[in-house]
Amino acid sequence: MKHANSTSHLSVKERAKNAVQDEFLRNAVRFTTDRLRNRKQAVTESFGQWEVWRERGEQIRAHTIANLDAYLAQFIERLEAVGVHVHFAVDSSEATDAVLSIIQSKKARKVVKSKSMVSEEIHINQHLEANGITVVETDLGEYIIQLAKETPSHIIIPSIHKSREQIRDLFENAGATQLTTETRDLTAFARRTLRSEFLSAEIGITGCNFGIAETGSVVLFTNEGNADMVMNLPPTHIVLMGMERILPTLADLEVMAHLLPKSATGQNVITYMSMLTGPKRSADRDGATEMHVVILDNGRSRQLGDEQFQAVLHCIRCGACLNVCPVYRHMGGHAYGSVYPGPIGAVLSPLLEKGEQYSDLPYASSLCGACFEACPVRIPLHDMLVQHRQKLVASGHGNPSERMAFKGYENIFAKPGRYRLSIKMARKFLSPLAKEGKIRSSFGPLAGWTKSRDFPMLPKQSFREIWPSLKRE
Amino acid sequence: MDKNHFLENIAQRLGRSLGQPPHIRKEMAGVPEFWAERSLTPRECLEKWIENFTSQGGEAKRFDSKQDLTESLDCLLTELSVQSVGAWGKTAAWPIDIENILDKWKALRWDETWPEKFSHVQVGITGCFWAIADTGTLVMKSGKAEGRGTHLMPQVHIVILRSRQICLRLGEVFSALQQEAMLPAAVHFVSGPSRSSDIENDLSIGVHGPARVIAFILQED
Amino acid sequence: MKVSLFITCMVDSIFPQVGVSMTKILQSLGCEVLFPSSQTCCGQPAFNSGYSKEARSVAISMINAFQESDVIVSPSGSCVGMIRHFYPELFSDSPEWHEKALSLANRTYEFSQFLIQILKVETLGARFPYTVTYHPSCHGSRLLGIEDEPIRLLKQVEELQLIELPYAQDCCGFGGTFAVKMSEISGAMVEEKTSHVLESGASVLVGTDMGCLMNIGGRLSRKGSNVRVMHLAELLYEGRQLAKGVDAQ
Ligand code: SF4
Repeated sequence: MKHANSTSHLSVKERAKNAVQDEFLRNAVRFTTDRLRNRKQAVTESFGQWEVWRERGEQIRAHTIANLDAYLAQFIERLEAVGVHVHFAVDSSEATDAVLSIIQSKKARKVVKSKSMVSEEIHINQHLEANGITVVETDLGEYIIQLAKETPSHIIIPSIHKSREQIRDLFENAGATQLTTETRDLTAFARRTLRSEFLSAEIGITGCNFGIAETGSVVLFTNEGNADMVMNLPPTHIVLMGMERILPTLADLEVMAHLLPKSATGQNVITYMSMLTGPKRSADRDGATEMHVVILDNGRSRQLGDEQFQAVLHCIRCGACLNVCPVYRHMGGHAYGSVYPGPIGAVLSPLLEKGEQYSDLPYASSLCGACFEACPVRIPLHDMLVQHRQKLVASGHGNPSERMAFKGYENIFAKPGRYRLSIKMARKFLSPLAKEGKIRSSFGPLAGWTKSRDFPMLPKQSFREIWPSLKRE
Repeated sequence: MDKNHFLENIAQRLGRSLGQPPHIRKEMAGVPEFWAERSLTPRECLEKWIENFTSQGGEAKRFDSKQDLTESLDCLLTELSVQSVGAWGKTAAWPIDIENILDKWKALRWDETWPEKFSHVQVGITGCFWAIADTGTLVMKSGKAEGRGTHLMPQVHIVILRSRQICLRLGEVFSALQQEAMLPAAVHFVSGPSRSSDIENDLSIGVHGPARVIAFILQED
Repeated sequence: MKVSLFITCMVDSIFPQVGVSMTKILQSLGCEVLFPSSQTCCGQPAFNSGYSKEARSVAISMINAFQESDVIVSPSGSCVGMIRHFYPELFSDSPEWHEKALSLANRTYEFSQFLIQILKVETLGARFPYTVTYHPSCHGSRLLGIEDEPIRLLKQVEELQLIELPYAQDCCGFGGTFAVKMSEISGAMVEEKTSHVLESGASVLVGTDMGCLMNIGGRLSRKGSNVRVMHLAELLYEGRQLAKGVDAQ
């Protein structure tokens, strides 16, 4: 799941440093996430009993994942019973191969797609394009960043970082003439252009928000209605889904139909929720005649049975954790360097990808816990970030000087006598650096701190030195 | 990879064996009890539906008689100076018979023409199977005469419904669907016009689906 | 009531006046205040960085230090959160220490929660004629569950004008080693936080965690602002002295 952006060789710290310089990006991200989280707060308040709903959401997801083999088997059985072809992919290359071979068997040249994070995860577009197949993204935001040859920077609003002027220019490159920067005009161009793509494509690819085990239904949520077009107009429909996207029953879907849009964008309801149960029936006059579902593992099953990380599979990809994350707020999605940004990305990316590539992401957090508080299925993301760090340290991959520092910390703080002594020493050591009771020196590890703020000078007496005078008989 | 390996790996990691049924659920499936136990009168459901639907950008018009409804529909089509109208087929599950209007406007009928033609239709007219008060939602099932393209492709979607088709919550629709012998290939839950905020957070309407969704409701007590 | 202070390493070494204020308030409310001197740090710096073995050693010395204490009160929601939530987990493989950790967790309170929930005191007879805004620290509010306790205490202070802090719930960017490790992002976060403090127009910023207050205060000081940064205990103590007509300093 390597990210297509060219900065993936940098550390998250370096990418963050660059991103913080980008004023337009930071303003856009702040503006968007403020809007989303304010709306979310308003809608959950008026809906009421939000904590009860969250608990129910967590229970449903926890039960489903703990019994995933059974529900997935049931889902597959129902899918096959209604004539859907089901494919299994252990990793992204098996998934892209499966998709490619379906497309090639149809001798198809053009694919229309609706937004799907799994398709980003397996980089399906690059793979198909390398095989001479045209892929057209149809979600407005995805279409914009496809024209810009970029990747999404937010899982719900992928084009968060593009201005309307940039969008107008991209559309003009794509053939528009005399376009204003009015939203209405830009949207009208996209509607016209994409409509003809829908009608001429031979294949439609969608993701899957939820697969319902008891009915074998694939459920999709969009606001634009593009997924409906994608699954309806081309003769062949391919669904890409992570293996954890299952819900046992339609009754459970009712809960998610409230949790997802309210958490994602603060909407009371998604504009289009569509539930597909197999390809079109023989009497139907529209709908795909052939339906394929590709079920992807790609590192997910490794989390099953893992006490600490299994719950990451409860995620319903609503993006609420991004919208409240102060780190995401200041560095945006691309600085994470992985397909999944924000707190969920910082937890999930190092799990899905073996090896070291994303091992620094769990440090891109102040552990403020806002993500957990926002998560509609109560995933303890902030705990998982710490557990990631523990794993890294336990495997001996920690930063050597940090390891020494914490060894030293243990030696001092686990021994009260040494601790007392070291306060005195710190005072001695720091006092030459202080001016008017403030320290601004960028000496050693202080540098990160003093770059943007002052450090107070240590007082003449510590509390424990004052204590005897406070004590009462 | 083959199905059994795929599933067996999952079962094994969960400490289960393939074929073992799921554990009994500790909690009931579905929505919290307080949510399921609410009840509203039909009139309240109607009000709630209209409130939610309009707050999501839908337009609602209500009528006490079938005649008022058809006359108003005729007026609206005149006002819109529509060149082309498309509609569900004659045999579709129309909640109210509006054949005279559809004839007058020479509506293309879903089951009598090629679906592609609906891409050029300006106004699509359909019925619906249910509506949901909690979320201002319309529910359409796919069928021989109830094409998905009728409500999806045109710029304007006009939907005809009777107030008694409005239920309170989504779960009631699911229960009703599960009573049927077989689920239709597609069930669409539509809650207003197509929308996007992808351009600088500015709301734009009609990006793919209809820009206007107008409900004509026959109010019955 | 016998109350043992867990003063925290930061208050001990950098902000002793917070400890002094807290001690005086507790004494004036009739508590017998004790200070087990072998206490050090809650272990959070190591724990949050993934060094759980090191955090464990420190936690053991803390458990030992407070073995004899009935009730423990601390001026930091973050450190109490560490003890309450993570100590038992740190010792999940040792029933004996797990038991001890649980016992410590159940006896340890954050200052404002202790006043309201245990002592059931809301009014301290304080007067503080300034505009004040309150920053709820993340660990205190989200991990430990401090809700409106500090606000309730502040509302009882005479002549104090409480001003809402815009984006109050947003993290200030402290996050322990995060402030050094991801200094650019942390710097951007504290910059935004201080701009909200200034926007509020309050002349005093009050909080319940010195880590966050040191961070916000350090940035305010760098910006040359004269907003005063205080721990809740300091404000309440100073307010009581003012009400009595005594200069707290
Ligand atoms: S982790 Fe929770 S909040 Fe974040 S995207 Fe997943 S479900 Fe939403």
